[in-house]
Amino acid sequence: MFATFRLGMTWLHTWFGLVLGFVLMVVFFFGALSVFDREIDRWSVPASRFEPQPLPSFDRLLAPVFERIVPDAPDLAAARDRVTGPLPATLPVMDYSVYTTHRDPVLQLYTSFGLPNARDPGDHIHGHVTLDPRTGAELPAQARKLGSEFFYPLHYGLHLEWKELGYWIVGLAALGMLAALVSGVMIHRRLFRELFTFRPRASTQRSVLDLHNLTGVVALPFHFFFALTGLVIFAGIYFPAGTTVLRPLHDADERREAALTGLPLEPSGIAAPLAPVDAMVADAQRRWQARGMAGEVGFLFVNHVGDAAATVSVYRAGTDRVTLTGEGIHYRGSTGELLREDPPQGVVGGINDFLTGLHLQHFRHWPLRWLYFLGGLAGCACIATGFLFFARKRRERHAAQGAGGLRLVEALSVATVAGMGVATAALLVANRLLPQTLADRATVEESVFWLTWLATLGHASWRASPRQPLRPWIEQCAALAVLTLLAVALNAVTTGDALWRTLAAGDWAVGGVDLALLGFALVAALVARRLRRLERDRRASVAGALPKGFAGDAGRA
Amino acid sequence: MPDALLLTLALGASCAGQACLALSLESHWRQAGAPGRRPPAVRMRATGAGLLVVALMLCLAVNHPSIAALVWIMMNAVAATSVAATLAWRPAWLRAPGRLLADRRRAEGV
Amino acid sequence: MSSVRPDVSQVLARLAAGVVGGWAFTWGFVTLGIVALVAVGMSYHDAELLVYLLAFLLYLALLCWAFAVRSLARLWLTIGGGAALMSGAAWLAAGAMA
Repeated sequence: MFATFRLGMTWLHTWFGLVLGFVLMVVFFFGALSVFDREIDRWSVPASRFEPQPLPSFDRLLAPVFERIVPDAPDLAAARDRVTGPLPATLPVMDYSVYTTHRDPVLQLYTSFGLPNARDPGDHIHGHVTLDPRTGAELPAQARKLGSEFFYPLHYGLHLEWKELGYWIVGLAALGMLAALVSGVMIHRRLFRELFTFRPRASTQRSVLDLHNLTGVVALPFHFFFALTGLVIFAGIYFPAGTTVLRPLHDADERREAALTGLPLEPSGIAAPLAPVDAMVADAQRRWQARGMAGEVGFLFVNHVGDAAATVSVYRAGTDRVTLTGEGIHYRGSTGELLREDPPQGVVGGINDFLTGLHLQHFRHWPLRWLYFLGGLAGCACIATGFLFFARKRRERHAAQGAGGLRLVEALSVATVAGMGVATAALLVANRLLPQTLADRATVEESVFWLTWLATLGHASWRASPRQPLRPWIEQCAALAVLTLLAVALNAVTTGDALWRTLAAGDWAVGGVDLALLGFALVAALVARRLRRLERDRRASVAGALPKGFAGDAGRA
Repeated sequence: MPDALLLTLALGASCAGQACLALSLESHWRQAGAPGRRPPAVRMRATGAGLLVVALMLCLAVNHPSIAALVWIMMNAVAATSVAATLAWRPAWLRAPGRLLADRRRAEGV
Repeated sequence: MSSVRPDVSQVLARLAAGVVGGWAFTWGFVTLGIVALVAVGMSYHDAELLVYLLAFLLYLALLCWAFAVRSLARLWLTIGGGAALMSGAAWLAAGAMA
């Protein structure tokens, strides 16, 4: 099919990059935002703008809240199709979990409820609540945490939950990205020789390609490992061996493990109250300290609630290394006696924990976190410049024909790159403007995001023209700059946390988000200005006022 | 020494190392206006590699090895981008390092 | 880039072989790999983790190969045959071990 190996790889790179690039743009951009998801949460939920707290007393503060948690309404509605009989008014409680990090001021509490008469015996649903750990007050359900509850799920699942379609699309995109990286390296003959080559003053095509190569190559290990680790994290979805063909093997191993660790898989059916959990937590912290790993509790899990077989598992908040360690310590729920201290992971488990930890970033290291953010944006730049290069090349070739397919690609490119930013900024503005008491506030916010994004596609199609191909880009970049500045201003006006106030108080979470927004506004404005200049020069040269190729083509090529 | 200072020094070493690697290539050597037509490639690459190792050591002094390795890798990406940007917009800034490491005999001879 | 446009049916065939066939081949590798490692004494959990780590590298190689290999027949034979053989072997072995 292809005359040479290199041509085959070029085809692979171009078409996988182009088609999957739209999805990858979304994954990378919202992945980059997810690096600071908890900080964005605080920006979007002003009631949560306080310092992260260690886990409060389970017995005094958390237990009463757990007892009040009910299943989430949407999960309950969806579950009715999965059971063969009617659902009772109160569902049996299976387990409690509470989770916090060094970046979270608030606590997340989850309860699992069993489904009697379910077709799949292991089926269960969840209820959850967000708590202010200082007082035990619940945060209103309407308060949508835009970072961890919107941008982050958008990053890994595109909010397409039907049959896990979103996960599959993102997975295919990740695989395509690996293929694009490998093929890109193979076709870039002088990879090392041209590593530092960036010629912004050369012809647009040259400088766009230089930037594409630069952003792709300097962060190559980052791009490769993030795609690979992302796939490994969701491997159970793509290759569900343990729940299908190998289920007997899997279950046998689970039973063997339960016998070994003393942590029962099933409840005994005998009711028993929970012993004081605070004492178990204190014991766990003492044991970590004795091992030279003093730390806060990151995750607490109570299994088989109210049963004699109940267990309480305490995990350390891992912050000082990449590996997702937990140093889990397990106690018998009814008595508080120690059942097991998790031993260090074996080689395979260790490698896996390192790779997943690399992706999920629970570590405490602000410079590295910012480097991750920049790496994500570099990935976006790589994809965006790829689109620009492709579009311009095709435009030159099809100038006479005015191919409709190219127009679609160009409109999609604008909408995916600039339009996505516009939609995000519009979401932040809506977050500040919508009244707190609005019912379904979260749904309205999200609708603003999706509708704005759709509108940018419409705008891009409408405003594109063969004579001014950059016009949609320029207008959307300008809109992005304006909306982002508006979001920062609205934060100051509606919450009183103006940038100078937050920075003076050392609130780097909210102040940092505002600063980043200002940075985005600046970049968008500069890009709009540069594109406008390019368009003007191109029009002038086409009109014959300048010798062909003068504008921007002079200088080093 | 405070962590912030060590990491800043590491970034500096990384930038300097990447600059040396860049200057070891003839096109960039000339772009910077360093003396002589050809760069002392072996010496530049050795110096560059050495500086990158220094950056890694500084990172390891601050954090657990697993984190330090990631910080170093990502830092190198930033450094390489900075060097590319410098070569694109202010190549003359790299003339002095080039001159420092140039082969004097060759520079005078050309 | 080449001015010769590759014909659509070839492209679709390679795409199918690489993406769908590649998935099936990798599925065979995953199931057979886990069964084999468990048979030599590794815990199921560790076996699963190790095999998953390798699976995507394999899938990537197959995808690239689907667009590099000259003969379509060889492509389909290897991918289809491999997928069927490995999945079948894993299914039989898992049945025997359960």
